[in-house]
Amino acid sequence: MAVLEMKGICYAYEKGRPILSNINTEFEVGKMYAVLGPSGSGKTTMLSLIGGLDIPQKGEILFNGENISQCGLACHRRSHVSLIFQSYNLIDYMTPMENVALTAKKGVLSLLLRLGLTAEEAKRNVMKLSGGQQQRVAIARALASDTPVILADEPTGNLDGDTAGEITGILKESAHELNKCVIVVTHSNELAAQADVVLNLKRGSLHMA
Amino acid sequence: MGTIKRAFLYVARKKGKSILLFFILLIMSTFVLTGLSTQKASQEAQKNLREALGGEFYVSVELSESNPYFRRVDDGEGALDLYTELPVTRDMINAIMEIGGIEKYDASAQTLVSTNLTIFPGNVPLKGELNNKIYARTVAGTENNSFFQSGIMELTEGKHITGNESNAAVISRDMADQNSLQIGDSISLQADEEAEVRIIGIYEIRKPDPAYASVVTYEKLENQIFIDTSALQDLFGDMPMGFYEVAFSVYDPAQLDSIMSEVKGLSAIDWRAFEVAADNQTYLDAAAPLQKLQALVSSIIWVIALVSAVILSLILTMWGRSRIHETGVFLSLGIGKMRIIGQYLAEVLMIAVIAFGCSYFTSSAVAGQLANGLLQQNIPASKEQAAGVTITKKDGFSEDVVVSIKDDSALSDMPSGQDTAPEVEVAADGAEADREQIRVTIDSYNMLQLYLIGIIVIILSVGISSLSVMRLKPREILSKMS
Ligand SMILES: Nc1ncnc2c1ncn2[C@@H]1O[C@H](COP(=O)(O)OP(=O)(O)OP(=O)(O)O)[C@@H](O)[C@H]1O
Ligand SMILES: [Mg+2]
Repeated sequence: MAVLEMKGICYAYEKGRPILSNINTEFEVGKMYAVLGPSGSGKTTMLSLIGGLDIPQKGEILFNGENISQCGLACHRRSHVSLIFQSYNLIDYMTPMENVALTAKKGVLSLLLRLGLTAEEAKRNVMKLSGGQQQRVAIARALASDTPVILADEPTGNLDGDTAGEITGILKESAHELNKCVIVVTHSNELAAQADVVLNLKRGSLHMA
Repeated sequence: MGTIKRAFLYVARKKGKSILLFFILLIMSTFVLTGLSTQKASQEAQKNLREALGGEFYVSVELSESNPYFRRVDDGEGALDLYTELPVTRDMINAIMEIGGIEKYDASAQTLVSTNLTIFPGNVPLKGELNNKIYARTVAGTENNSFFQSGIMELTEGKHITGNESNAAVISRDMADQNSLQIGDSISLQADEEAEVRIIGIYEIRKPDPAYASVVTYEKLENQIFIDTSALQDLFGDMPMGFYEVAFSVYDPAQLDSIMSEVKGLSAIDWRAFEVAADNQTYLDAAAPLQKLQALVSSIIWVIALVSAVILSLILTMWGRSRIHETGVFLSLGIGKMRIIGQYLAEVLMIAVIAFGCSYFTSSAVAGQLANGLLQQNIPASKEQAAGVTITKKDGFSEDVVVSIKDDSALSDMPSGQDTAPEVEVAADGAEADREQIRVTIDSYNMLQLYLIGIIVIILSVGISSLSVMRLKPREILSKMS
């Protein structure tokens, strides 16, 4: 059964210039989805609708069959979905452990260690970590919140090939082993190749590749 | 992670901002606390001044046709006799004294009487018969009588007349010696009728008043005989006994109005026959500069609080812009807007608690200096001289009152430990024991006020500074930050 469903989603920033027009898609847990599409096609826009950061002008987004506005957008963001961004979006005055602790109480250090940080790095200020390490912290924070859905917007966009590969691996593992629904927006064909389902966003509509 | 923990981490990690905010809050709270303590000092000064000056009201017989007991008797030879059949009686005085806040009362009436005693001739001659008459002063009590209150006379033997005795008299030491009289002896006085009075007390003249230097016989201080109302009754037979005017002094002139309206509400007194009048002009005059100071300080406190709120809002708005990213991240994590504002509020409050506490010390140093300066600005503005405002009451009933401000030279002579606390001094002259000094000090109530005002200012500022960020949708915030 679909954990997340977009039904007839339409969105436009300005009237007469629709970015998304009538999108109908289902997402399931245990799978990693890759969303591809040219720059400006509306990938980030779509992700922010699923992530409860914005409201579609038409259509509805269902989580486990229920409209997300039922529980409220803040509730949706807190309990249903976790967001990972290209620019990591960590809190700069906190250590990796504290950043992860924003969403979880227990198992913070072991999670960071599992994602490849050392114990010392886990207690350093986040701004003193490399990009790859920072993205691991962001993923750890997403995993720690224990939401069934993980949304990632170009998570490897700022990383070199090897590190990008590792991050992709972690996301894939999360989908397969932790039974999450992982939706990744990307320009990277390497990442798309690892996905279970690849979707293409073009001229406002979403198609299976 | 809870709101408070996040706030604590921010304050602890962003040391530069925290220290800057600490000093801003310290300066603001120092101003507010200084204002509050100065206000308190001026309130205390007013209170002490009120107590030192006291206030009086008079209950007197209404001498007009509207008084049904008023009588106008023409003796046919052009002499008009105005009197009342209902003077202020002892029962009325007792009823009025039941009301709280009244310290004491005084009433007297003098009557020319003849006696067979040897009296002291005055140095201003009078025609015939009058040279042998003296004053019998009927008093409600000798202790509160102006001669004794002012220190001109002092009871040195026996007891005061309190109003509870019958046919009692208090005479002078000179009169007693001249006539070989002692406590317990009786003397006879004559007016319309003859009255027998018993000596219960003897006074001595302590401060010869220059006003009594050249007087007629019956005004000579040595010749004064004080008697109670029952003796007066005997002297005049059927006449209704009582006083035409009684002065009541209250502890706090600020309460004069409310006490007077209570007096007017007494049903035991037929108010068609009497009127009640106030006298707290002395207090009003003396309190004016202090009231001006207080009004000034009150408005200064408001201005400071307002300016603080504006400055704080501006600073927090500025800083808030650099925290848009953080706000967006928190929102994307599903942390509610109220919790995010709560964190920003908690951060400022954490620093404020410490800054407000420290302002106790900075204000203590500043408050005294400022208060002194303000008072010196204000006192000379009144019509009296700058060095000290001297107000003397016209009648002898209350003592002279001096309001004075210690000048700087007096301050620098003080021991070094005290030099941070200049004093505003309000002293009641003539009552040395009442000499009081008011210091500008900060107490727990001021601190409570500061925290209250401070917290309101901070809540306002944080609220205002959060408005712009909080109106945005999370997606807009997140798109602004990349
Ligand atoms: N706040 C906005 N107001 C108006 N137009 C916007 C706004 N944000 C995005 N757009 C426009 O909407 C379209 C979709 O933007 P979006 O960010 O979703 O694209 P994208 O697919 O994520 O592109 P990229 O691959 O470059 O990140 C673009 O044409 C963009 O210019
Ligand atoms: Mg994008």
